Amino acid sequence: MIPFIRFLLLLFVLELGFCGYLVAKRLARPLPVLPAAESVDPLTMSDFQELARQAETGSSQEWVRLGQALLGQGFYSYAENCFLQATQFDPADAVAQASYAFCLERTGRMQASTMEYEKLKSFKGQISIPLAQRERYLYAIGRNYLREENAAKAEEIFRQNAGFQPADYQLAKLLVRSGRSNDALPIIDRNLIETPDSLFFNLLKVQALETLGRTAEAKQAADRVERAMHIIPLNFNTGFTEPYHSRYGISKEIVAYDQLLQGNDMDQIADKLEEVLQLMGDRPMPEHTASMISMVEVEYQRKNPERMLTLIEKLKESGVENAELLQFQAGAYTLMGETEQAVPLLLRAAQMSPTIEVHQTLANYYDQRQETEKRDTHQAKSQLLNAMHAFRNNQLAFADKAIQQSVKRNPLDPQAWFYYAKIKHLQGELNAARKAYERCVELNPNHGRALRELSDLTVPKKQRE
Amino acid sequence: MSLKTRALLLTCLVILIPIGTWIVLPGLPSLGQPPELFSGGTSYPASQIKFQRATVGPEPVGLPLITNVQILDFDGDGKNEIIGCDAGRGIVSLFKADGKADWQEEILLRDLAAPAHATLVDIDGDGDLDIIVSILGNLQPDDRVIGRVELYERKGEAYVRHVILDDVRRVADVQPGDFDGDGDLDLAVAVFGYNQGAVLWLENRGDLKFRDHELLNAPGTIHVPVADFDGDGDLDIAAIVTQDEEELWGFENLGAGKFKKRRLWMTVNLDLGGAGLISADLDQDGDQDLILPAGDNLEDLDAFPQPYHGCLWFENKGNWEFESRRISDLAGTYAADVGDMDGDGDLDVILVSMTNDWYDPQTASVVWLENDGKQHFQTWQIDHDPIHLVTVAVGDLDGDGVDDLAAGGLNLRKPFQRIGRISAWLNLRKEQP
Repeated sequence: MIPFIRFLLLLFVLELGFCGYLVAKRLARPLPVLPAAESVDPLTMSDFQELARQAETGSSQEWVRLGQALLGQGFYSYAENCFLQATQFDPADAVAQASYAFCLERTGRMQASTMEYEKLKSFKGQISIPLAQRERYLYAIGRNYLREENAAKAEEIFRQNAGFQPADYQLAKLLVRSGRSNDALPIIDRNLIETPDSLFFNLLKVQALETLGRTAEAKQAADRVERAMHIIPLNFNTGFTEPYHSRYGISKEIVAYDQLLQGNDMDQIADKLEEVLQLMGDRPMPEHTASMISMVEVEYQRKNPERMLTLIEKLKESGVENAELLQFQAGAYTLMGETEQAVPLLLRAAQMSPTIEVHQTLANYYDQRQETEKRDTHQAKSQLLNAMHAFRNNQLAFADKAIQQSVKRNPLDPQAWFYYAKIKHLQGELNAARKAYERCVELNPNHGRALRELSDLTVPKKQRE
Repeated sequence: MSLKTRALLLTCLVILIPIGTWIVLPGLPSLGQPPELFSGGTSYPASQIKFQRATVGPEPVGLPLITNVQILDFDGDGKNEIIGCDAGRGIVSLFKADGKADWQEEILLRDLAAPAHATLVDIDGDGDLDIIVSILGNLQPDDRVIGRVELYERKGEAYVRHVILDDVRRVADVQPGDFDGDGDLDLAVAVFGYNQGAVLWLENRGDLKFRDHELLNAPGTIHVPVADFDGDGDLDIAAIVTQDEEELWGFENLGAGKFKKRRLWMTVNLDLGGAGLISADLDQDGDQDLILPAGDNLEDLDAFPQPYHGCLWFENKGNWEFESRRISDLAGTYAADVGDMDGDGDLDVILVSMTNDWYDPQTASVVWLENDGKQHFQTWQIDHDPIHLVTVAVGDLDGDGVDDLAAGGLNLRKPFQRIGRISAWLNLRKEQP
């Protein structure tokens, strides 16, 4: 019996020690720190408080969730503490580790951030957020070195990350800027094979060729830049925090409203917007303005011009006046059958921020009034904007069709002739291009770009080189 | 106690202790010390010279988006007025003094799609000030060709609109100068764009017609100050290129409308956040230096002060050599101007911040850097309210012969507190004992 009692006694002491340790550890946990209530909108604050309550008694996951909520609202230092706490609870939590490193990065502590990112190298298993993946954290480390103006270390890290386009771009850029364009060009060309429409790689190619004195090739590459619309992401900060931003507070309600838009039930959408506006109260927030403008649009769909005009007045009183509001105001008058009041507003909007829609609306109005000259001017402008958009998106066939319509409707617009020429130039119709540039310059003798293009077309290729 | 009882008691304890701990543990309070929060914000000793803050024009409503303020004698009456660009309302306004610390707003121009800057200059040489507006087209990042340069020709009390440059990306700045030496004013243009942009100069061809010439193809040019940087008697152009590039360029005027581009400085720090550029002879050695405020974090959803934010002074050493020196670490520095704030004959620097740690109410939004005459600077805090300031101008606002300040707020980012539109700080140096 005595040995058994001794065994129980030993077990008791061990248990008491271990459980005492657990209790002490639990009591020693810090309370989550939240920002001052007056700095946060009440809806978000209530989400913070609930998450903090969960974190206080929870595990690393609850601390991560609170950290993400704080991060989404830009409270980097508060979020940092949560992620640090989470890493202490669970050192294998890659989300907590990567997020902690991110907070250090965004608060300007690059060396500490790099050290924390480097710990991710030893993490195994499933990685649930992109930032914790090798290519992404290596890229973040490279950016940290750039921010410390340590070009050599940045270059070394970007080389380790070869094949990841943002890293390739930063490496090639470092090479071009340090006079090693010959080394940069193979990296640039490899990426342009993969992504021919990449704006950044095309731009970098122009710079590289210029520094090498290969001006004719640089000019060719520059022509490509104007139609290169693909943007490779070079900064992942917003992409990382945005999902957390829209998960809590007023943003969550706006996401719910956005989802209702797919249903097209305008009454339901209006109800939700009213709810969102009430939740925001009188607090000055950009979301308030955006929601008011959305409400104007909803009321347009509901054919409620009086409410539209009331809302527009309120927006003006809060210091918002722009072409979009002019267009809505015109829409309200059109709904009321007061087209004569709408047209001057549309003309102001067209002058301020010309859009295809505004010019087409004006063209329709003048068509009904059989004012053909004005109709053709607006139709031509609308087609020109169509052509410009298609041109920049490298849809040359569509752009060609639209620009032909534009110059047919208004042969006196030098801008239309300029784009006509650009499109013909790219299609290899050099004579047509030359004539169009000449027509552009005839209409506007000060059109610098047309003069330069015309000069390039006129100078023999060999001389240019 | 018998051995049996002891054994039973111990067995019970051995079973109950873990169960009890398991039950009690989650409900125990957290008594640990909360960790100290990191703040990258900056604050400084209060200015020895006192300033009186005043609201310029009506009290702010909503979230004002002021992009530019200037102090100048608009109507030629010998007193300074304030000119402000309001991108939220699409207007350029004149603020005329009405008493010592009161200004009345008069809207000069309307229907402007996000005006970034107004350049007041007699472009047609008829003796009055015309207004050249740099049109962004959209305050938010946008790579479409939505920018313009609009010239408002003054005719009596009215302005006649001329679009002198369009089909370009977002335009951030226009500065005048006779670059080709033909006696009329040409224009240097900063096409900020977004991912693409350019530096142009517009050759004045008479009758308010201008021909565009490209000087540089690069995104994110904010300002293009004009001065004779090489002292050869003609006007050159400087430009700060940002958007991941962070380069300072000079365009040496070779005469007859020809320029030689020179990269004067660059950093690989793609996050520096160059936010503007002004020229001034800060060391008063007879040549024009350059001053670069750095602290633009607008690419982030929520910005935070960075250790490299502040202000760089590029001392002109001659022959297109500029030596850079960091003269301030003000977090989120967005704009700079110079003036003699303490009346000691040298030029001091005034800075405003867009992105200090605004959750700490004591961090600085307006500071001045006192020049000891040898370009050693002591930073003095003028104010911490309002916040989100992106533009500042120095000039005598109350006619006492002392430099005052005006600044404008671009309220795009949290926190939406301490909101201002245009504010002035009257220098009370003369009233102090």
